[in-house]
Amino acid sequence: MGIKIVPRHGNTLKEKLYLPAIFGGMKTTLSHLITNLSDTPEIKTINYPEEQPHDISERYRGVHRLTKRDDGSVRCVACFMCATACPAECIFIEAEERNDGVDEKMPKRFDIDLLECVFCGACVEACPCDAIRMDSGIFSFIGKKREDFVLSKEQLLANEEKKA
Amino acid sequence: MAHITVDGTVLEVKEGALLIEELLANNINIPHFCYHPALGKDGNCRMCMVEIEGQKRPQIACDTPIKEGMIIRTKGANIDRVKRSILELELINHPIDCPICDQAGECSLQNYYMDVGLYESRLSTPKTRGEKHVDLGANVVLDQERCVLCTRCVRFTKNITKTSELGVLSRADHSVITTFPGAKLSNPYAMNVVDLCPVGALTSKDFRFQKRVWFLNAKEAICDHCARGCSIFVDHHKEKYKDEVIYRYRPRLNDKINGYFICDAGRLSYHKENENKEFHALIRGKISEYEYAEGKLLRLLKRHLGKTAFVISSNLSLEEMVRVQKLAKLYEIALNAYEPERFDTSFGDDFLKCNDRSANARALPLLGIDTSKEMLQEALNRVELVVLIGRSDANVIKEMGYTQNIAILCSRCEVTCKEVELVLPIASHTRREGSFINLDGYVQHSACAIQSEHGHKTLLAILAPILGDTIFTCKEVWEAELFFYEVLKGVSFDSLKTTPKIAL
Amino acid sequence: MSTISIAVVIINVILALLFSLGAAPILVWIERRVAGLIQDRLGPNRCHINGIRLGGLIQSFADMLKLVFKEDFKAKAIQESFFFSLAPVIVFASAFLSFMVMPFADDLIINGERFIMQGLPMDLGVLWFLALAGLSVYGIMLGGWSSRNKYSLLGAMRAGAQVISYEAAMGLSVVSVLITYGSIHLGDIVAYQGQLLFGFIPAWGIIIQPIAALIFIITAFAEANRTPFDLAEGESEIVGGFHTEYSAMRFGLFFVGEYVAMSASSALIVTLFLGGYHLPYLNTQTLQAYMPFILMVLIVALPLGSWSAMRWIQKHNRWHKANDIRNHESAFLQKGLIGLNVLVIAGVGALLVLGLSETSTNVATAVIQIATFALKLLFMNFVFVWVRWTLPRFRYDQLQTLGWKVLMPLAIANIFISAIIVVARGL
Repeated sequence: MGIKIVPRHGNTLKEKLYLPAIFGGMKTTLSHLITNLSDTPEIKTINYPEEQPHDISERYRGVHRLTKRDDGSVRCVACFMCATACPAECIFIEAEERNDGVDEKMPKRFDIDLLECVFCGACVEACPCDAIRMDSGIFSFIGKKREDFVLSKEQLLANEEKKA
Repeated sequence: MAHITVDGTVLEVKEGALLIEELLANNINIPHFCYHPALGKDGNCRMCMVEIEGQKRPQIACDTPIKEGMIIRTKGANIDRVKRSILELELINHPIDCPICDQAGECSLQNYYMDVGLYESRLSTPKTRGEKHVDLGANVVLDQERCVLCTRCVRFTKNITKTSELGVLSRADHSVITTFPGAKLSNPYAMNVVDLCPVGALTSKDFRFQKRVWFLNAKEAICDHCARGCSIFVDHHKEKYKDEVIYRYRPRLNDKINGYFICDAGRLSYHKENENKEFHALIRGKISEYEYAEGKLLRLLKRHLGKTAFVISSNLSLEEMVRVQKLAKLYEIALNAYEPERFDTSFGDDFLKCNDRSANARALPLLGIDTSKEMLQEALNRVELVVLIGRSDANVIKEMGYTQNIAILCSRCEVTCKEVELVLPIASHTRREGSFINLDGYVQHSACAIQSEHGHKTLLAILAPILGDTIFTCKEVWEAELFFYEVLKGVSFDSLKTTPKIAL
Repeated sequence: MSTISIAVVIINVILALLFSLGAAPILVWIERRVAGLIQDRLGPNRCHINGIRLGGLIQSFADMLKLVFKEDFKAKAIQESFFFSLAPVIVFASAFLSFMVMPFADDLIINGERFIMQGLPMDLGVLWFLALAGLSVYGIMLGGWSSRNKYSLLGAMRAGAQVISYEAAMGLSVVSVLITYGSIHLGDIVAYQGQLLFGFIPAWGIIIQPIAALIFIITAFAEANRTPFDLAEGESEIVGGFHTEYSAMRFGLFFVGEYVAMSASSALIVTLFLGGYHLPYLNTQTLQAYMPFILMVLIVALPLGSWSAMRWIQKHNRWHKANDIRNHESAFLQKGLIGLNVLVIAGVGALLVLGLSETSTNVATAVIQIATFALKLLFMNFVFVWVRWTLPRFRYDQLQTLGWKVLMPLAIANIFISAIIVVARGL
């Protein structure tokens, strides 16, 4: 019942000889080479630092940012959900008491090591307060030392949402 | 003995006992807030509903005595609907602030909601707000919004400590747990209410916001703060790129010794275990390589052969004492455990705390180790080297007129002066395993050996190469050496789990 | 020894160096640009000296410079320091030396003196190549073993097993070629290929010995450790294979060695199967006989070719930003091409007007043959690159199956057939 016999490939002399397939493949690559040398190349490469990519979508997972409340203070309550969800264990949080009456708890330290981060977005999914997002649109982050890649709470708060 | 049927299974239980006791004893999951084995029934939370054949309505398991032939259902759509409704009522004013609540992860409300709740909120009016950060005193912080009014804490102060500081104020929605005006929660066992609280209403100021509980690893251990030797859990965690940190001690149920509770002093004594990060091996006050200092100890012992005294702490484990004693015999070393600060008369009470502050002093007479000042004085007069093991109170022997070489093997030490020949750090209490004999002669094993990054070896590991054998673990010591002691007859290493008692 | 003979020897050595060592940066450039274009990418095109990019060729020199000045890092675990350093030297030297017996032109006769046009004037020919090509694997194995790295060791073991199995097939395929040509001296082999088969087909090795040619080309890929036989490197499986632990110029020697070996293999393929330095239908005698005519064709063909190249440059050699120094390059290249044309046409025209002596005919023949050889070599190198960016890597067992079960029997059968035909023709 319902058994489909799939014909096996590779048993004819032509296929076993391999050479026709190899030459076929070489024909394909050569045709690309010649097309790209001709007047109508198919090269899609952009000249990156001068030309910036224009197709970064809204949902692109860029460098993280910490969102703020309406009063401009940090939204994060240091619940450690992101650090728990993080598969790369790149989020380092230290909690402290918050005494301004807005909430009880806030992060004293909130560091993300971008060199360890895999940009999976699990932290954004896990956050119960919508306090961490990856919508900054920053796709390239440059630093001169390893320490430059550890973003502090202040740096994360300074990142802005990318406007469409 | 009575036979009851629970969800189709026949159980043999004690007639007349409370139903919830026997169900919990048979590992049947019954949600409950107000019932606690040490505090008994109260019947106010209504969470432990079960269906009993022949009864019209579901009954609470915590106030139902067992009768022969009862047929009980704890599962099913009907009883789940009842539980869900009760939970909805309990949670009606509960602020959903699990992200900032320290109880999250070990919270009964969370667990029961995931088991039987999972409903959408039907509340259309604003929640009744309470005060959030009420300092009750004694390191306990109350959050009135989170409280489900199970009154476990009230009953604890009333029945266990008999201090009755806590009570319930006001009615209905506005009921809150509180202390009398002007009074504070102030008894030496107050922090047990944090453990008792099934929700996040009572939290410990000491542990507040330190760590989320799901990161913590619990290891079984014995408290070494006094001779009671309460059973505890050690909650520790190693954060990435950091060393192991102990975050809290929690009481561990041990009927024979401490029941469900421990004292606050013992609970907070974990701080000293985190302190030895910057503690290095010192030779005449200079920081030395650990391995070199270890070799130095052996060289010192050989140089002063026959003219050495060991002054040991009564906090050493049974195994360590036996090994030290063996070394003392081998090298003809005088052995003494005189400790003037052992007794602290201001510490003890009639519940758990006791005046004897040593964890294992009962083992000294059993092993025949002398504790008298006279014998120590006599030994000090003829030796050239004193090795303090597990203690750093060099002033004691100095006061007795001793002026020659001192070596110190301990886990915490403030002595850095140059007169001390050698300071060799050893693994502290929770970083090595060991057995202890408590005040009443119960033998317990503390299996908590948290690896530390600063590489301080255990005393057993330091002694093994000096003694020239390969006995490193407590089990090996029990099998090789403690086996011969008459008082420990019938006690094997494996039987320590059951907390055997020996005659003192 | 006369001045001329010293000059010719020096020119020979310089040419051999150019074809092997000097080719390495050009081959790297070809590799990267061809790879890019095949995959619809650009490849390196930014590096420039004062605006001159030469299509990205400058990048190769920049990379070379970088390799020279990089920190020469050696892991602490490596204890056999001497062997570790020796390994790339072996690989490089053996590849380099194997190139030295390739003839780039027919024997040059100046004033009745005969010069063999190859780096080292000796008669060992194919044997020299086989001997040295086999030696390079010692470098790879030594490097892999002394690296104290599991991946390196795996790569080295693969390289060892691969070379053993493919050297057998390679040697056997060469045997059948040698039976046909009746000599191991490469000059004789190329001379044989200057004949015509049946009066109208050039008697190139690839036509009279197609199976041997196929086997030899395949095994040459394997000898040069190129895809689809680059299991020793296997970057997708074993990091970098034998050169995982190498950096800076020690790695650079491996890297250059690979391209020199590729160039040497190409040269041997050209020599054995693609007619060596012969233009088709024009062997040395014919070339010399029709020299004035050929030079005239050259005067016409060179400007035509240059013109189309200039058109292409104008159209495509642009930098995407308007006021960039790199936009001045096209004008420079065009001027260069015009200058080259003027020089060549003037020189050749002068020769034609003044009339050709015997010596100048011989020298012109040698120059044309060297150019021919260089073009064929470049083509064969391109084939190496082309294959690399077309075919995926073999699995290890497939590699061994192909070597022992297919190529080896085929090569042996080919020897018998060749021998029978040669003997039958001799009767």
